[in-house]
Amino acid sequence: MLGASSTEGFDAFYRDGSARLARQIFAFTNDPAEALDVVQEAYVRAWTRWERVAHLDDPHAWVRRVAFNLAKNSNRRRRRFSEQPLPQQVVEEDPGDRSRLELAAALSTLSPEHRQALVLHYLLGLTSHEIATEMGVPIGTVKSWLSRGRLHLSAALDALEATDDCERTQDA
Amino acid sequence: MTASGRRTPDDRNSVADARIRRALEAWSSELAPALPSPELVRARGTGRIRRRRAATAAAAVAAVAALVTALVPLSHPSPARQQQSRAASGHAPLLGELAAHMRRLTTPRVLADARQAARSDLSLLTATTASLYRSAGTTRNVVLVPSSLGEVLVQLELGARGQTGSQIATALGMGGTSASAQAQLWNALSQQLTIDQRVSHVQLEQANYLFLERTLHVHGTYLDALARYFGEGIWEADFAGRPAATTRTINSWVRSVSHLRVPPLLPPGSITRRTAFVLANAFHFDASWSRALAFDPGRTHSAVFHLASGATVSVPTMHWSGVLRTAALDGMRAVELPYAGGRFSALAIEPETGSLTTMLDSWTPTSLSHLEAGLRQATVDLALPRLSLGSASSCNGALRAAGVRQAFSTGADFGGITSTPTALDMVGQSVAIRVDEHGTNAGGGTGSVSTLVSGGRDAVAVAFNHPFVFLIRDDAAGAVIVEAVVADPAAVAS
Repeated sequence: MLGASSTEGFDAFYRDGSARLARQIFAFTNDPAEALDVVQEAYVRAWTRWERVAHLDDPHAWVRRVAFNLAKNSNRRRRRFSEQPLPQQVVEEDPGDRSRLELAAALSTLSPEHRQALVLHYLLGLTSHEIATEMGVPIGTVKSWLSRGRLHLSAALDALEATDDCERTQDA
Repeated sequence: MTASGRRTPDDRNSVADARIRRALEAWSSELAPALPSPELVRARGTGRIRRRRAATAAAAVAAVAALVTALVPLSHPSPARQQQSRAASGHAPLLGELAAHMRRLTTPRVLADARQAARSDLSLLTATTASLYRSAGTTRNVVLVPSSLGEVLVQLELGARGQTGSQIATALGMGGTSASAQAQLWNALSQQLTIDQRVSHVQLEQANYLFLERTLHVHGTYLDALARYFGEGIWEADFAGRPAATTRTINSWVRSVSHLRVPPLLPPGSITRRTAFVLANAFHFDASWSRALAFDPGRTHSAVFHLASGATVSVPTMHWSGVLRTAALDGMRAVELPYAGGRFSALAIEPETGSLTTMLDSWTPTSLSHLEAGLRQATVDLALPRLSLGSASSCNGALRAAGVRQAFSTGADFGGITSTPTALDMVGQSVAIRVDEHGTNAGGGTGSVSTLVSGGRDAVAVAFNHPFVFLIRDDAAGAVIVEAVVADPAAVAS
């Protein structure tokens, strides 16, 4: 059993990073329940091998990799069995929030790896080089993902603003 | 920005990036992370470490003993034995069969415990089915996963005291056995159900969660017991502040584990600001028919189904002719439908005469065991409706009828869970089941080949065209894992 200092170290590590990671995984999966489940599972795994994880250069990067892998596998399974497209849940649960829908719909058309790179860049502020290292892909691939992702998400936000402008005009 | 004031591509990218970042941050921050406290995460991890250590020991024993056991059939490969073995397993690779067989042989303790829990599972099933069917007015389909219901009840019993606990134990057919001993048996059944899936060609997943009001103090001993016996995940929830949102979260979690569009487990309004905790168990089973039982979609056509009311409906009905195990005993007629891998099978049962209600009223674990023991091979012309059923049932009435009364009353004693007085408000199940030409819960590719066997001259026609029961069983543990009471196969799954 791990000692008291390990316990304190883990608790601080968890408090420091879990909410942030949950938001990243939520943006990746567009499923709040799945995000919380995945993040909890990633930290449980971290605790079961804490003596090793605590001594890594960046334990947060380790738990993040585990969480993204769990989320990717979970999505694969879900799509295979339930035949449900990813963004449906948000569509069903909160039809009023168009901004969320546009972003969710735009992200859901990208490959999981592409989506992960965008989340790491925009929500965590990682550079192309850091993303390439974390995901184990060439830096050119990451740059291409970020460039195409910028165009893709900008187009989604443009479409949203155009709709809002149109509605404001009609209301006036 | 250039000296002339025009924007460079880099500037435009920075502006676009900032806009996307703001939008993504606003969106993702809508997730109110109701994450558990680090103490609860550690409790779950520590429980898993204990379970893993126990499992590793069992696997190591299995590996040593397996070498000895495997030599017997491999060194004396009688052709008849091999053929029999292949037929039973739906042509699974022989080594896979042996590996599965050996693992079962070499974990006698787990298997014995699992079988004991399976008997309890059967008690629960026979005690609750008739009541659930009757409360559904014999017009609605009822689908039940008794093993899930049993697990949740045992989890409650672990924290119940006095009569509250003993009534639950009696309903489970385990009066006189301590709650922790029962938990161990159910844990064994859970392990047994989920082992050897690769070689048994099925997918079966179970997950347990405790959703806990974050302001409620729960005894550490209870959390530890849940982690130890059930690998329980724990979520702190804001029932008091956001009852509707937590209802959605729990329903969403159930859907994600069960992989099917199950009806919502918790109807709107079931969670209130006074809800203390919700114990949930989710389950997923996916299997294909054995290769010998390949239904030909070309032979599926509409046929008449007679409802209990006397009305009729037209439903797509699958047809198959060949040799299956059947039994006719104590007013019941049953046909066994094997799944690929040979370990799981379905049992379709209908009353030979009289109504389904009468048949269910007289159900006991013994009568079911007799029926199973009476199964013999026969040539049949089978007609079975394609099923796509969904059912969200409250089990409160059925559990009360089975003797679980105090838990629902103000006299309930769940003092082993929390010092705050609490009572059971609802026990509900939400299940969906799909049965078609490929198997149950269709899903993954089956690779099945249509091998029609023409019915012989003395083939028995078995047409399930009146209300009937469809059970999915794990033959290794002797457990019924899913039960569907099919009142109306034409009813659309809700």
